[in-house]
Amino acid sequence: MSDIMDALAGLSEKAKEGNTVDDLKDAVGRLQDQFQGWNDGLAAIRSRSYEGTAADEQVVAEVDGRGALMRLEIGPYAMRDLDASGLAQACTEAIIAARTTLSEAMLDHVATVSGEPVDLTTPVETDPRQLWRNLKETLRWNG
Amino acid sequence: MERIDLRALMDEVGHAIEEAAEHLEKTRNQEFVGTAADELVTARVGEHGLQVEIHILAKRRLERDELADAVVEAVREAERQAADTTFELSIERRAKSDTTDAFYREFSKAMAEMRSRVRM
Repeated sequence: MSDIMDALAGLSEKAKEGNTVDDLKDAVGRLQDQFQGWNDGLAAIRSRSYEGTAADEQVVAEVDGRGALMRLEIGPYAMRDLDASGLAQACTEAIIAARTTLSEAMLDHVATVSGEPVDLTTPVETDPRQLWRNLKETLRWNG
Repeated sequence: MERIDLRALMDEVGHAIEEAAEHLEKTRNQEFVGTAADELVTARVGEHGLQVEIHILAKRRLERDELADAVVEAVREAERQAADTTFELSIERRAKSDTTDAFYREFSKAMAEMRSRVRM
């Protein structure tokens, strides 16, 4: 179990045991510390830059922590051996690879909340209108 | 404590979601284009993601670091255009004009904070 889930479980236990408000304050404080730590970790990810390559590492792209393209490098062999179309494709691939590296760092960090890898395979509802209807149904909202 | 009209609140949220989803559908198929090096380098951002295009003349005329810089410029321009097409929800416009309502005040603050955090 992750530290955040531990702290959450601790708070839940304290609440169920009928503890005093002061005891709960400590448990809430621990949970807040964990969340703060998690937020700090997220800020650290966003403050770094990430690289991706293509064409046998002859093309290198660098993006910032939000995925914005900062820099591109085209190596001499790519320039010599690839035609314009091939070079364009390699540039696109390198940029996508850099952004993939960033999103992997994000996913790893999100996984630290549950202590388990994020499940990307189970299909989820993506239409916000349907999500809203589902939520109202869950709440039994007849308005 | 101010009374909250929960029904009105739920309706507002529902309308805002409909509005945002319709806008998303409209703009999903839009393509944004950035160019550099006298339009010899192009970046397209659209439904299929990012695609860089390099004209044969760009490869002939530019040094490799100039070409790389041109690609960065074109990509940044295309993505800047894509990011600039955010639109304002009707609820945001109402919240900005009605500063007496406590809910609208807090909503305006929250939306402004979220927009500044989400934008690249």
